[in-house]
Amino acid sequence: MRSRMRPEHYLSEAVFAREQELLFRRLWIFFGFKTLLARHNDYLERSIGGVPVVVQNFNGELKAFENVCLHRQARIQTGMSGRRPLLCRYHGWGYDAAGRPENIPFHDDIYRFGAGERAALCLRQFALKTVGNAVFVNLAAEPIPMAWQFSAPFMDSLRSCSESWDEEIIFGRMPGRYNWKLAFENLRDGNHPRFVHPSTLAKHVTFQAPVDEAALAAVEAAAAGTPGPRERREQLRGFSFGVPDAPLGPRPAYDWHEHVERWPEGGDYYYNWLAYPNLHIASPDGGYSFTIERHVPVAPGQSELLVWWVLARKKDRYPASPAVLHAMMLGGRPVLEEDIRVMELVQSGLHADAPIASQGAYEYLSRGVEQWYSDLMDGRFEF
Amino acid sequence: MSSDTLNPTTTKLVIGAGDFLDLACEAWRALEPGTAIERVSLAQDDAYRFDLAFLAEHDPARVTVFAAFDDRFLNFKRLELLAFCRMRGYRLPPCVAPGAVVAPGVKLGENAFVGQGAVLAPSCRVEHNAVIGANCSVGFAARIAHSVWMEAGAVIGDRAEIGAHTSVASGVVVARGVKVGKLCELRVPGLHREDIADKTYCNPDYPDPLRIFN
Repeated sequence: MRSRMRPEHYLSEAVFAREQELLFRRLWIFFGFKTLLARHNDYLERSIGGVPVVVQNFNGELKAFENVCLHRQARIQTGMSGRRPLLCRYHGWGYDAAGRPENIPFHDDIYRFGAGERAALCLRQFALKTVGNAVFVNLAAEPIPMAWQFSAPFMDSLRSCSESWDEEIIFGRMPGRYNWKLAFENLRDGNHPRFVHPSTLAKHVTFQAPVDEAALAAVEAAAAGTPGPRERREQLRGFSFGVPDAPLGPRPAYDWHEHVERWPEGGDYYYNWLAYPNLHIASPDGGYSFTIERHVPVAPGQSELLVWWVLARKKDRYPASPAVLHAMMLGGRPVLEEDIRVMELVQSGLHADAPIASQGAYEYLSRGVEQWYSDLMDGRFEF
Repeated sequence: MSSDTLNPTTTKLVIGAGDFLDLACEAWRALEPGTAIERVSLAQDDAYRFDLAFLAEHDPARVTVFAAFDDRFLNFKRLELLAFCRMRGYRLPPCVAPGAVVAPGVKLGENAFVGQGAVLAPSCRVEHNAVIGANCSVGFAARIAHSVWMEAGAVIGDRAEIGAHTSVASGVVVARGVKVGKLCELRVPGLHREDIADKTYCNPDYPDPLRIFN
């Protein structure tokens, strides 16, 4: 079976710009953790779809704004996270919970905005929703309901697992020379670990690449027909799921396990959650720890992997918990490096006339996403 | 666990693993030729636990210990050895290798180590379980907190502070007065001129430091 993806989907600046507009500025995008926004003036800042966004705690209420000062367009908050008022460092404009400049130093002397002009000044606000500990932001003027994007079982599962996360979190960034879509194609490919991770991940966990005949038939039937808006929404919802992916073999009981409340639903499985378009969560030890990854598109051939590790919530003070998180981050790095290397291998082989990918039956999940994606990019539907 | 000879009168157990264990044994043999230095190589099980049952065979009144384990697990493993021995009543005197220069009056904490060729300037402080590698330099009135690990040749400027459990790699220079937080790693060689927050990890494999929040 030939893939619906063309080389231009991974190489073209025009396609990249269209993705930013049609996907990243319209879908609900994972932004960060509620536990990092627990106190007044806590903030997180990062870009979505090329737009700088800040999420800030105003006396317990989380608000998302465009992180660009209305005066000289400087980014207001910097450094990815912190705790300070929403105050521009350039000329001291301070913003309130509604995004209005409540303080413009020397206003009456040197700015002299009229009452109407000043009243019109307001940061662009974005929709924000939390699912458990996960904060999502949507940049659209009229955001789609979250239930269009994520199924109720998926949101329940995400809520359940994320509410078990501890507040102490380690964060790192890994840049790569590959298109962001390759990351999710790779994550949906249960056949790759045995080849890409033989001495790391696949040494400990046996992933399967099953063929779901019914799902495969549904994907191919949808490709042959003309899905309506309802079918398009159902397709989109199907792209995000959380599953016990592979059984875990015998493994050591580490001392730190006694200090955390294991995720109550956690069994002896390697768990994976994929949330379209670019969030991946895994628990490699059945709910004792979690890694959260956001694949950020930077350019057609450039992505950034944001990686967090978090333990299940601590039961008591455990002074060595930073050492556990540090070990998790560095211990997980070889697997991510192997993935990045193979994605860069794919990206480096692409050119305008590169052969179209030939997919097997087990790749039905990716075929479903590709069909929806290429129809959207080609203007066959909107949402 | 493997052990060499045991002298029943004056004995020091040097317990740990790897290069640091060998370095510490060499240093103690040179410092105390009259003491039986017993090298005890510790293994860890698959959950990284030590088997320290052998300590029960010794008399803390007649035997001292030095814990020589590297900076794995942010230096908590070495601290774990120290704590275990201390709880059983063992003394863990610090070790200043021959060739190190320690200014008069500098206080060294329990189980601290100062390697060959290292220089500790006046008024600096080295707390318990800190390891100052060979040829390191610690400036005037600098503070090296407990369970710090400094690789060979690292340089800490005058009045600088290195927080507990922090590791400083070879080739790192911490400028005068700079405060490096606790539980950090400085593994990118070069001059560090700004304060570094707790739980920050400068690692050459990442474009910017890893951070732990909360």
